[in-house]
Amino acid sequence: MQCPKCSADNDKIRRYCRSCGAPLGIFCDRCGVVNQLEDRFCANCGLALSESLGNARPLPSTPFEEIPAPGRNQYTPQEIEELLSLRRIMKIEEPVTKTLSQDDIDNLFG
Amino acid sequence: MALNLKVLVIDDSAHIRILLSKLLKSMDFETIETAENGRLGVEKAGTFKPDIVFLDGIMPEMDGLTALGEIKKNHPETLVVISSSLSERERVLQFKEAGADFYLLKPFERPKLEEIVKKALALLESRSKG
Repeated sequence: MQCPKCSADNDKIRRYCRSCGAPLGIFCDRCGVVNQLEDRFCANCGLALSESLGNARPLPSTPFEEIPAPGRNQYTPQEIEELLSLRRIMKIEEPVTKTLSQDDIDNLFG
Repeated sequence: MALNLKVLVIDDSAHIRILLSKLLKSMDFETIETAENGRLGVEKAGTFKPDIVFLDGIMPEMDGLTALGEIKKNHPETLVVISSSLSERERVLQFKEAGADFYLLKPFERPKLEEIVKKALALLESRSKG
């Protein structure tokens, strides 16, 4: 999402510009329209914005209020998808080496 | 009772050579020689003619797998115990296919060493009877 004030590129989950702090609005995940910060439903398609990625975190009262870092079970769907993608990639790249215990080796040697 | 068997310990770690020698002496083995790499180990196996060889997997000059092949080729009757930290299935299978009789995974504890020594002695005894 591009900041209307300074043109900096921002992730669509951001509510305020990472560069200048200007309000960015709420990105609707269904139709892509940028809504006003105070909107609860998308002006274009009616999607409840609390279900949208932009609302996965609690609303800050000011642009400069620190948004708490997500803890366990507090990742956005986008973050979860990114993590799952990384996991899938890493799984492919991980060398498949099976290590044996002494018991396994004893069984092999009989 | 002293065991009338000869043991050769081949390991590039002086600590392991000393440790294994002491443990084996405490298990009544009296004639123990050591070598610090695979090449020297193969040479010593030719002159010393051990009944049992404890052979490390990774060593300078000649690795354990190559040394195992040489020892088994020249002295097929010698029992070889691989004493190595290598635990990958493929590596362990390589040693088995090259003729290793037993495999002692490092780090090991005395009871496991005793167990393998007992198996080795039983195997030697059954061969001498058979």
